[in-house]
Amino acid sequence: MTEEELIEGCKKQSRRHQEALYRKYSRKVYGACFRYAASDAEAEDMMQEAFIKIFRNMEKYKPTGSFEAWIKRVSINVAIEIYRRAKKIVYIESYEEVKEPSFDPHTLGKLDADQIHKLVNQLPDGYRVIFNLYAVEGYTHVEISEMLGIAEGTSKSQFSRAKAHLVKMLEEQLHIRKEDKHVRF
Amino acid sequence: MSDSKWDDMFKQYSEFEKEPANDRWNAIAQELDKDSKRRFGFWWIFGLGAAASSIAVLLMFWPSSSENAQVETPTQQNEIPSETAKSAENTLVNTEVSTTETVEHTESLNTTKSTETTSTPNTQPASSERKAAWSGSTELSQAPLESTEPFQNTLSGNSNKRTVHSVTALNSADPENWTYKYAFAEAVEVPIQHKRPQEKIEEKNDDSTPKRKINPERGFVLGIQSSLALSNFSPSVNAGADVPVPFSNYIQDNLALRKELESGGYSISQGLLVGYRFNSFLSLHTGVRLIQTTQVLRYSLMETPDDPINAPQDLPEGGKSVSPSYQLPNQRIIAGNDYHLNNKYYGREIPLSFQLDVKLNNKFRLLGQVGGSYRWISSGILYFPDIDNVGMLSLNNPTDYPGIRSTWHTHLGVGVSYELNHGFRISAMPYANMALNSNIRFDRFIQQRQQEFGLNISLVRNIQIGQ
Repeated sequence: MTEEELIEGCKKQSRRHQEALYRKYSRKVYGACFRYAASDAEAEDMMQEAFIKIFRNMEKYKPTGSFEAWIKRVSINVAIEIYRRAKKIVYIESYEEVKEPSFDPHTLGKLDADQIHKLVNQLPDGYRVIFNLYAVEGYTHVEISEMLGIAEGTSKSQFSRAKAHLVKMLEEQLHIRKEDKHVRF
Repeated sequence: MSDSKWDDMFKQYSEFEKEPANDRWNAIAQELDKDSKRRFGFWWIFGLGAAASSIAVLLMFWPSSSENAQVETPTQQNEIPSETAKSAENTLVNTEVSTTETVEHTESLNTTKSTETTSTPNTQPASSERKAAWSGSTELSQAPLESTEPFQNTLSGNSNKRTVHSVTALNSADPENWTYKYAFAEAVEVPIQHKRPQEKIEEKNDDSTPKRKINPERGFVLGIQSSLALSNFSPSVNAGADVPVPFSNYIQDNLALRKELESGGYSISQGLLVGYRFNSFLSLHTGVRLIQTTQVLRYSLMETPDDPINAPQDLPEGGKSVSPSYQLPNQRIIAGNDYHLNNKYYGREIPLSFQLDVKLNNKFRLLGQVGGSYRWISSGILYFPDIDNVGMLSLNNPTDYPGIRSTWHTHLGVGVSYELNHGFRISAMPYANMALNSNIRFDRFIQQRQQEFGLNISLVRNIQIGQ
């Protein structure tokens, strides 16, 4: 079944096509939700809501853009919406610049996706969302400010804080590793 | 550390995939099944109303058209097509009638009132020989035929006169069965001094009979059946006001949250409508209304402490109220504020509705109304949440109004009317109104369809035309 057939079937609310689309994209959607969720259960709830929203709003999809990108965008919107609904994230208007710590990027390059996820997942909810949107999804601060309804400066400062927080965690991990090595030798 | 190095590192993370639990599809399918059951929603009420109205309309038109068809029958029987008349030139006509009516035409053929109808019992031998003359001219005689004037009985065709007559069986003395359909035919050797009995003329003017004769040349024809000619052209002027109280907005996204944060506000409208009454039961109304609708939004955003990293999950609510909406600073939601906004729409509406009218007694009538309307917004002070529930669409500048689009509505109402005095009635009609499409143009923002319950108070003046 081609992607066009899947989309057309889903627009007609065909359960068979919906399931086929779910099987095809569930890993990607779940992966996207997983980046924003604090736990597995929360990620699955997000994914479920994302798919329901995708199926309900399939008519709004315009074939001019990538379908996968559209699905991801919907998933991210759902994740943000869930956080807002639970009032977990609050952004304050702040233009304070945060000093970025110096860090060797080669150390980060050695981390795989699971390790990065564990690291990012330790960020507070507010930081994690902006960090994911900017550093992972590739949105600009202007776009993030529009998506979250916050000032561009707030997005920048939150990202800087997130990055600082992340580096701090990385340094602590590396320090622990060094200490481990020191003990061994 | 530069951003580009961060980008390189986290790019791989963007393609991160993970297998979800197996039973998740079942949960999604169940939720979608609930969706399909909910689709009926509010629509069945309007569907039922529309169906009932359609049936009522059909039931009312059906007998009406049958009656008209019966009235027209003798006209068709008596009509002599002009082509036939022309072909009958110079031929003798032998017509046997027990009773003959002739119609004397004077100046105008356009109205029945200008035609004098006379009739007498047949005084001619049934087998009398009659000759016909046809001049071939299309002009009509400008002078009325003298009662003693003989028919143009010549074959020479030197006359420009054409005798206008119609033949109707007078076995029925009921003038309702008479027809005013004209036929242009050859002269018939029948005396013209037939006078209609006075008592029959009086009977025609009696109130018990219809005040206007059905005339296919006049009046309105709906086009459903060509034989249907409307006899009661009696428009009514309806000047009134609506006080709709929107009970909810049907929000298509973030339903639970929207219900919590948004509610319908008061609305008022006033308009001038005209109605056209098809018969004693059914009328059609249209016109224009000016409307003002409000919508209440409540947003409370919590304020965080300085250190959001270690902030507790449940933060105290803070901030102050900002109302009305034009005081909203920077058109942006700011944490720590409690927003209480009134969206206001100003616009116009063109309704079109069928109204059923049942007489309860001399004063009261029961009204039922079903129809639709087209509503467009001309200005407003509006705010709408982003579909993500984190942004705000602000429309309080005329250049922003393309963000709002016109809507189609359907409505259903039941009420009563009371006759104040001759020609004037006052009516009160509770009604339900539902938008068929969203009034927000941008998909990005919350799509919403208004649902309203309201009360319409109208003063109606009936006008009879053409009597």
